[in-house]
Amino acid sequence: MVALPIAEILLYVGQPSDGTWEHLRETVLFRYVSNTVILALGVALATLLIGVGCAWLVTMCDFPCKGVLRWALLLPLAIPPYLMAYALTDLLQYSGPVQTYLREYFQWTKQDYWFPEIRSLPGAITILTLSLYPYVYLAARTAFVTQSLCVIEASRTLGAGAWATFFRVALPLARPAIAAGCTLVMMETVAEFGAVDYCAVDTLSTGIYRTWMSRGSLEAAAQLSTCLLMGVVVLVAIETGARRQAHYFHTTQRYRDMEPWKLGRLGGAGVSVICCLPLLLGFVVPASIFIGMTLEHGDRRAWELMFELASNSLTVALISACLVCLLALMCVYAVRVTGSKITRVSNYVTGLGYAIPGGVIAIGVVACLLRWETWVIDLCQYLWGWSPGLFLSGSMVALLLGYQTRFLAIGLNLVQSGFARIPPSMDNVGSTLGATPLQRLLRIHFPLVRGSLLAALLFVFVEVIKELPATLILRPFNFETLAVRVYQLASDERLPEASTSALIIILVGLAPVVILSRLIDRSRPGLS
Amino acid sequence: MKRILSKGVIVQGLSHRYGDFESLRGVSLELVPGRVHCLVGASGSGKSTLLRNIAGLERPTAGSIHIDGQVVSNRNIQILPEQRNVGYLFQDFALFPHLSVARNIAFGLKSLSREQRRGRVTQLLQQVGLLEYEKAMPHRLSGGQQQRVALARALAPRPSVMLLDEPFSGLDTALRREVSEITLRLLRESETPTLMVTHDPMEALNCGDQISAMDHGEITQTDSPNEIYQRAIDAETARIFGPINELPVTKQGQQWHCQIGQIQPDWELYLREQSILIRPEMLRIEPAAGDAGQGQITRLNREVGGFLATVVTSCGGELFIRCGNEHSFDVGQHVRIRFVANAGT
Repeated sequence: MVALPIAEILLYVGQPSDGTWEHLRETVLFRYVSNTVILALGVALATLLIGVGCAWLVTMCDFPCKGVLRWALLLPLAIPPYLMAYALTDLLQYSGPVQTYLREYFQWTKQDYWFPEIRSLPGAITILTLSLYPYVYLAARTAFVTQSLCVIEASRTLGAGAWATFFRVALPLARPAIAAGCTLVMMETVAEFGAVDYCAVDTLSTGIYRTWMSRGSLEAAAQLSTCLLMGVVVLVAIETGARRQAHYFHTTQRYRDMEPWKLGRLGGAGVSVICCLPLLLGFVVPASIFIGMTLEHGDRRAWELMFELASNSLTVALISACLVCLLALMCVYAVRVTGSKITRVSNYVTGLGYAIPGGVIAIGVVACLLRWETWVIDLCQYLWGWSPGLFLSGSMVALLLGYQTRFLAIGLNLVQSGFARIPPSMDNVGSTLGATPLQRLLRIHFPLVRGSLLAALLFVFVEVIKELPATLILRPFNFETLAVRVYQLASDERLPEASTSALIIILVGLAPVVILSRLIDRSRPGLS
Repeated sequence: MKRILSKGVIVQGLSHRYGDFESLRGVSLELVPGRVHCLVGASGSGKSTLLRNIAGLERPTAGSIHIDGQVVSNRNIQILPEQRNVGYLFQDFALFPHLSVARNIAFGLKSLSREQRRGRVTQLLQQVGLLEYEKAMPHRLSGGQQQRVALARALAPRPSVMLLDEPFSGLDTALRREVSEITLRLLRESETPTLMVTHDPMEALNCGDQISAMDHGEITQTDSPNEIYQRAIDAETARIFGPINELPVTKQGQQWHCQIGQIQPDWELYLREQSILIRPEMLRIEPAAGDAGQGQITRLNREVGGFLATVVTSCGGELFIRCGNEHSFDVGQHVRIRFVANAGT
């Protein structure tokens, strides 16, 4: 059912689009595709550098502030990319405080100096990198923490120093996990609309909106979405391959507490500064900008509305997160028990949802629900001569279905990796002791994958709070969330007022992010 | 090319702590080229910690370590593990799962040309009998094959000392003998001083040229296998290597006596302060008529080539006695007990 909206989009592909598709192909398609590819690769490379580098330093070295940085490096997860774009653009644009200060201090005029343009492709890469690197950091850190120390020690006794050990052993071993994290980043990047649109970069994602909104061609929008989907299929294939390889990369059951490498005073300070930079630019700066704006011009209505907005956001996020966990658990367990190909394929299609822009999913959801509603309305008209109206597409059902389609992939990913750690012998022991599949799920698997489920719950919760396009299109009439409020104010160029809701989004996202980080620290095997 | 033989390893007064726990207390030890030195002791006695200190994976709190005549660890110096030229064979082999067998073995080879490296890898693969697995990935190999690859990898850089941490414990009994024979032959041939940790006393007795018994972070005795088995310094050390009988003794004139009878002069080397420590095979039992005799069999455990009988003596003590198949015994049977003729053999 969750995969239906995706199938719905594919249905439109074969339909003629009155020449819009041909027009797109001749004019902007190449630009859309090349920008999307450059953006995805640029963000992937930059997040790799920051995420893997910080994860290794924090796991293996001893330096000042390490304890705080370990979890604080995840904080940018609480800031949606579009908020990051608003904040950094406000800071670095021509009329922003940085350039204004430079002009005043050096008595420059516009022609006297060059300053990087934030509303550009490199600007978008920077913004998305700062807001998405935690995915790679998370994956790499989990991989490094759960790596067998024996292999690292074997490498050192064979004459490889700290750097050589990192490049020759630790990094190749963590490669599957890092590849998975990187794929997630690329999926997020190609699906991102708000930040990319704000930076005025034309990608497939913004193109789909423009085609649908300004040209009104659902067919051409669906055809563009298919281009995007093909790229995503490749990404998911890479991710699946990486996961399969990971199975072989875990060869030991023995772990030992790590003795972190002590850095000298200068080295320690240097590493601290390096690790603080992404946190500073990705969290402290944007959060401070919003705090400053709120204190100065806060949105009075937001404070009045806060309770309602926050409770709307929290309720929707919590229900969606629970549903995702439940569905993911059912899907993954079904594959484990039956091993059926149909279940496997449907899980795969569902997994694609994450990389499809929220707006595209919204189109699919609306189209799909309308189809069902039309059947029901026709049936009611025929039987009783009465119409129930748009009881699905105009209700919370549409919103929740949209979130499931978009975020089930996160749940599937995390729950799958949780299940992968349970050897099949556990199932066999359970069944020989007389436990039915349901009893095995409740008594064996559920306690063992609890950590992964909690991680999925928190991840989806934060994502739903941040999600904008799907919420904007699918929300029931008069139903406002924090993200919607921010978008409405920011698109009216009322950024200072939007800052209050933005700040609340960040605050609401903080707690789950901190809990997530704690979870990883405890995920080391052998640690009770 | 003439190989420079390793000068061995000297450990002096080594102490180490894990937080408040004193894991090594003033341990001293010497490893000689071409000889295998085994460390035995209960879990947590500090065996692996000693190995890790020699490898440089832990930092000692006191004492010194010399490898090949050079100080690698003392109060002022702590050479990094990668600069010590030690070979370390881990219990779980710790093969690099992302590298093929050949690349695992070549990992530690530096400053060699590509041809020389290839040659060395082929030579080692030949020695461990895995030439056809050169390109295989570690997860495709059986436990015994993985162990041999790990050995070849550790030997490849011609280490100054080889440290083996329970290297055969992951293998089944049949494989264990085969792999340990290959391993020890290669180590002796390469003249590498070797320190091997094991929790299996029989393995230590079979493999070691020297054996050190460890207890609570201290080495209680270092001796040849025969000496340490027959003449352990105390009952605790003796028990590591199997059942032992500790019989109280009394001196009557110039003669020592225990519950079995008078102790011959050549048996006096088994005397400790107030008792004599003797192995089950140094006693014999013979069937006694009716209720006569010095004891009654309470348990019979079958062993290769005979039985281990548990006999309760008339004084109430319990003795372990090894017997062959020449007499048949039953539980509850009364027996006479005597010393075997030749002591110390």
